[in-house]
Amino acid sequence: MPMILLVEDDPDHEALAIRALRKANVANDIHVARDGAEAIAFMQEIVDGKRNAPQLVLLDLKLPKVEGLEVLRNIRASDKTALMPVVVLTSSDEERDIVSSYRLGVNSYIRKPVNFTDFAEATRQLGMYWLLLNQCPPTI
Amino acid sequence: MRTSGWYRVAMFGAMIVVLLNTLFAVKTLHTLFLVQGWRAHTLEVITHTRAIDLEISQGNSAVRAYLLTGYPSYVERFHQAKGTIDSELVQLQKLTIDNPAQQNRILYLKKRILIKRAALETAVAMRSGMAGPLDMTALQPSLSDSPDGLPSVYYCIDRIEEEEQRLLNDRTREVHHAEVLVWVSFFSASLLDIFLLAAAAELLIRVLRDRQTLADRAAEIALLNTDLEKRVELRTRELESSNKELEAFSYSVSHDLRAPLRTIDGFSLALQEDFADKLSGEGQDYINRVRAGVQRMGSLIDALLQLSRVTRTELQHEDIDLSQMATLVFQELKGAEPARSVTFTAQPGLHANGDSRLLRNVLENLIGNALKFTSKVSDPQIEFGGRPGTGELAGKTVYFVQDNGAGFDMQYVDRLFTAFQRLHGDRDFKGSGIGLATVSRIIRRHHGSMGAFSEPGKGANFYFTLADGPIAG
Repeated sequence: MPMILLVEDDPDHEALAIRALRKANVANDIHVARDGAEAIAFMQEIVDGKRNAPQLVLLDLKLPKVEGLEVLRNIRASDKTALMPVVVLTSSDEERDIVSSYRLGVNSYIRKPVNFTDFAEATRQLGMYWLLLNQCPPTI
Repeated sequence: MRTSGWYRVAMFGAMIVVLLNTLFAVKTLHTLFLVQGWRAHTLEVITHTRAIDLEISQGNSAVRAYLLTGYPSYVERFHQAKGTIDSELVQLQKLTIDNPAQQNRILYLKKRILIKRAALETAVAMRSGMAGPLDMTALQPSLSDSPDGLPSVYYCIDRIEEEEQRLLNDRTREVHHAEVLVWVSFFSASLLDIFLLAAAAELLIRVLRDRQTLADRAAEIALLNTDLEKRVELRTRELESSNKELEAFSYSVSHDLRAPLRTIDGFSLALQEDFADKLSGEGQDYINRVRAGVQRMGSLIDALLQLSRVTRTELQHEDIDLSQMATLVFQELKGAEPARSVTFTAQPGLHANGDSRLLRNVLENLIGNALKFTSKVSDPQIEFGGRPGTGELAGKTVYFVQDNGAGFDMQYVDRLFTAFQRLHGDRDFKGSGIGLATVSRIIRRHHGSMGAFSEPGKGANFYFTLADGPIAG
């Protein structure tokens, strides 16, 4: 089954995101990278052929070690990962973050609402759209 | 007229004055030469007259000597005198051709001379016919002078000379006069030249001094400018760094402060959902209160961020139809409360120059407030309009949003536009207390002013002005 990569440094948010995805009946494997460097290492493994590419990357922007935008740049830079669907999930609604993300080729930008009911709903739609409805590019 | 124009006029005037003066000097010099010529002419006439006088007496003496001695050399002298007199008379006539009175006198003199000469020639002839001793009695008639003889000749000569003397006097006077004029003209010309030269020199000195002063001042200004530029640069750097700090702060606020809130809310919800069976109604209520507090905190953070964004964003100026914008904003806000019935009127055609996003924010806040504070009246009415300013705001358009809602006590009007200051409790009307602070900051950034008046229960009027033209910064 295709897997989801969740890049999130806050363990609370990680737990809540996984809970929300499960509640939304997303049964896929969820791999968690806890900082930017870990995410980039994960991508390297895909490039090296040690791993299959995830069907969706949920990326936080504010990460320890390497920033989310840098991870995104890294994903888009390599042929093997360039077409991977990446959704930015962040607390920031700063214009520059939104603009930079789209410039780097993000597929979607979602601001995490404070209200968790809204977030759960957003997650449900996210899972539905990216994992069921959206036609992913063929794996290279 | 510019100074250089005046200088040109003065220069031209001076040139004309110098030219006139020169012309005057030349004219007086010319007159002097002329009258001197005339004077010389008169002197020549007098010389010739005197020569005639001399020759007449010489001729007369020669005749007398001949009569006494009988020597023929005296007759020769007499004939010589006759020739000289005739040629002198011709000269005299030529010289006085312009003076008819003198010409008459000369003609008369000529006649007198001829009569005298005839008498003398008769005497000479008689004497040469006499042989032997001298018979004086026979000669007496031709020698004794009748009144029309020699005295009348001398009289004529005297008249002619007298006339010429008079002319000489006149002409000497004229020469003197002309000389004085020449002196005056040359003296005045020199004086004028010296004066003009001095004026030009003074002007030159002044121009040079002014230039020096200007150069000094320019140097001073350049120095001040350099200083100013340095200071501006320093301030700009300070401002930039403080802006950067502010931005970093806002970024942290937007991310870091919200993250724990999400955790609190997320786990509260998880608690509510996953342990519903273990929670009493009271427990559920507590969790709801926790989540409501989180919501409130979240919206406060958002409002704060908006406030800081108003300060940070760069203004984009354009012409805005405020009337249309107000209507759109109202429709949008009203859309969130479809059950309410609110009368909204906007005066059409109100335009302003400003940043459309920020001014939209102003209208959203003011119309949003109006909607909020009319929620408890039976016939809510909101009006957007403009009126010409009076007093301090004279010459500007005052835009206003008027409602018939709860209003406020004018005693607290100053607290309205400060962040986190609220005149109504959350129990009555929800709010962050940041909206009007944001509006006030936006209006300030548009170099405008704002204010409000109200009475409790009688609605409120919030008004603002904007700078007329494009705004720097």
